[in-house]
Amino acid sequence: MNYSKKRKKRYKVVIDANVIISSIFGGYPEESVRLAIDNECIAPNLLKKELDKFVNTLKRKNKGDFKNTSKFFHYILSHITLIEPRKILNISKDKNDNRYISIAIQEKADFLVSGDNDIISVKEELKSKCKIVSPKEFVEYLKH
Amino acid sequence: MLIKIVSVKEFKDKATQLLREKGPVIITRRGIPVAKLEPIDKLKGLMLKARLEMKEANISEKEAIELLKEAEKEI
Repeated sequence: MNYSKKRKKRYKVVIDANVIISSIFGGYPEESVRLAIDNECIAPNLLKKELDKFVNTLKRKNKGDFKNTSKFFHYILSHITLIEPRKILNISKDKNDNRYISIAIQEKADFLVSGDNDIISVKEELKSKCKIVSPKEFVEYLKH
Repeated sequence: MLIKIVSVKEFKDKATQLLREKGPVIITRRGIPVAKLEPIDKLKGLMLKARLEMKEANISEKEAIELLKEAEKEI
């Protein structure tokens, strides 16, 4: 009899800043972030810059130090491997989005989870190279 | 992890102690399970604190995403 335990497949997941920020408000983005860091989560180096700039913009425009938001991002970043793309592909009209797409293709990620309309709009074009999914699709795919 | 099963009365009497023990607790009323109390992990705790910060600053998810777009322009 085979007593070996069946190992759950670990997916390689690229997650964008949009989803991480939305996760603060709950719902599918929250579940997506949890599932992504429970698997193998990667992102371009740009992610850290985006989250840092976001906190600075928050501080500049609102009263408060947003220490807890920074701590949350710090925790998330400690679970993500940041990578610099070797070549930045020119697919989306947004140059920052292209870094996420390039990392997903370069690292042969199973999923690129994004809530960004510019990234979602190239979903069909890239379907043979990379599976671009919304947080809802990602959660449904991994949970079923 | 051992799941504690307590009645509503026991829960009322020992709430502080049960919360300190950090394990899941099933609460029963007349012997029937009616609620489950579970500890919050680090990720959820940090997320909730950040959510509270956004709520206090009156920032909605839509506004936060707009702020991200604004921040991205500076990169």
